[in-house]
Amino acid sequence: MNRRLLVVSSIFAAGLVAACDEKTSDLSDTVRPNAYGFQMVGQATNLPRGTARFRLPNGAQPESIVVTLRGLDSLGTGFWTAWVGDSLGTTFVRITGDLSVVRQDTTLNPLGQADTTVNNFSFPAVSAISNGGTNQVMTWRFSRATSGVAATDSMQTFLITMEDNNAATTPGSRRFLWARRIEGGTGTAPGTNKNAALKFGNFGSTTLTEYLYSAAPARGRGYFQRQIFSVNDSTLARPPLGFYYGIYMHAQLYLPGDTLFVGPLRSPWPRRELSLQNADSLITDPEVVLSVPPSILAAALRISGDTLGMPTSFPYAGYAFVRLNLVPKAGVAGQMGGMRILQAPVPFGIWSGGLQ
Amino acid sequence: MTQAHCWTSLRRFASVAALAATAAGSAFAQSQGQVTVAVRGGYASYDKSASLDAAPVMGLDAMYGINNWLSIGPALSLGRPQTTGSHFISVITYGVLNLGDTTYFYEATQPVNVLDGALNVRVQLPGRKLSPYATAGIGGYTLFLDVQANRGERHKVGLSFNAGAGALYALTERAGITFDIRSMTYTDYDRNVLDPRDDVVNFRTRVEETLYAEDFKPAPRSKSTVTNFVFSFGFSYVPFFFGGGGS
Repeated sequence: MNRRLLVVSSIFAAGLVAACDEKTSDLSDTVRPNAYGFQMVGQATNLPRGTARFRLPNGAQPESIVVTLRGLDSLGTGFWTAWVGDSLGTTFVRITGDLSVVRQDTTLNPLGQADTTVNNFSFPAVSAISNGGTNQVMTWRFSRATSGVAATDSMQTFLITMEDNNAATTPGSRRFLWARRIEGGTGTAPGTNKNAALKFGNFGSTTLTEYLYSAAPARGRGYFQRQIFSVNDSTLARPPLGFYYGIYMHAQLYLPGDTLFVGPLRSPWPRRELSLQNADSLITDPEVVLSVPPSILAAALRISGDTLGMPTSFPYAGYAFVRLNLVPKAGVAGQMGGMRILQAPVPFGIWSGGLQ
Repeated sequence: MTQAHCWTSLRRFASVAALAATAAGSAFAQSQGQVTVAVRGGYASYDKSASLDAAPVMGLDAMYGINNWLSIGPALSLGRPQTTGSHFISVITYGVLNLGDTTYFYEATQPVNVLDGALNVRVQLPGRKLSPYATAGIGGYTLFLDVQANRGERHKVGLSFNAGAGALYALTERAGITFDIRSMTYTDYDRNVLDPRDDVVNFRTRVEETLYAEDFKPAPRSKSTVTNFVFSFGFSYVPFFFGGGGS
């Protein structure tokens, strides 16, 4: 009897101990590393822009167009190509002109101070270019006498397209920069100058059918969490044909080799597998890419640094800014251009290597 | 419920069991007019949707023999699982976003006393040393939540069913050991009562409402009826004052 009681009591005591262990409530059990957030703010600088001056013929002085250009990135596989067309914007011919480039280079002297140098370059009889940059101002002069345009061809619409090669004889679909003579004024007197701003977007034969790109509504935020880097953007305008949104990180001084191309924007979670690289021409994700109004309601990009070969510890140390850029599809792969839409400073602790 | 409350509850439970144990004579399997008392101890595995971690559980069955194969009586069980923290993750963000903020991630867990009481019927194969049985019952359950985590007493009551099977191995004429597997179904279950994030913890946001949601495996879909399983070993005996006779 006593032995039996001992067994029962032992089992029961063990159960009591197990049931009443030192469990307590814990509402603040930390899980996962901290996330360090940032807010991306609008920049919209260095988008392709400029003016076109249409000059009417005056006696022996032929009709001409003088275009000033800024914000064109260098292309890796394609060409920025110039065209001139009629007032209807339906018939275009390739146009040749004289190009002069003013390039301002900035270097650091041994004292660490910035030195600037201005260089001038001239290229006669050019109808397409592939070099560009944020530090260049181009002046492209087209005269009916030397442009290759026939006397019967109209010079009322100026157009720049992005072509895959230098042999195009008709403009492709990537018609992103243009100006109309009629928008520079209605004067008809010989020698009249008509100045019209270049428009950036998708060319249409009329102002009703053209699409003007606007970076203004874009906004975004993101965070770093050890190897994870994540960006969420919203209310983006659809990029003009031939462009996509890409995320970059770069160091403070924009030195060569200090730029990281993180990747093109994608659909937000849970459809991250859908790339938005072709959202300029396709509805890649009906949930977020709209035709009317042409916009991308939400987009994101999330990476783990180890997949890009980042260091195991403090993977993003040294990077000072996160940028959302418009990237030309024919651009140099991985090279950051100047078409900046949004930018955020990397949290100090991350870029200084104090946090990860 | 604090740990002190837990001890109080279990002490009462233990008193009843101990009283029965001291009253036990040499006992054997079920027979008409006898009360068989079984003290069980084991492990409870809760439904994923219940958001309760597996935990030890204790039980007490007192079955009155209607005849030598059918008996009826109350069945009690008590466990103290911890809520599953990964189902209740909250976020606190410090700082201002445009200057760079910092976000912390927390799991919220609390111990819960789960008391289940039912009136069970048991059918047993009589007259064997190893005697299998099946049992089923209906009753109620109560979740006693942690007082500190909930800033006061808070509990949840509901209807429960149980069904299971086991085997009794006779050691003597009136005593034996049992192995028991039982499903415990809780109806009108509300997982939200286990969630202290909204009502109790200030300045926090549920992670599923933030952009960090994808970093965490979502909690299983909430269900109003959850089925749990209890695996237990026990000691079964017939107390002498319930028909067991002297030792």
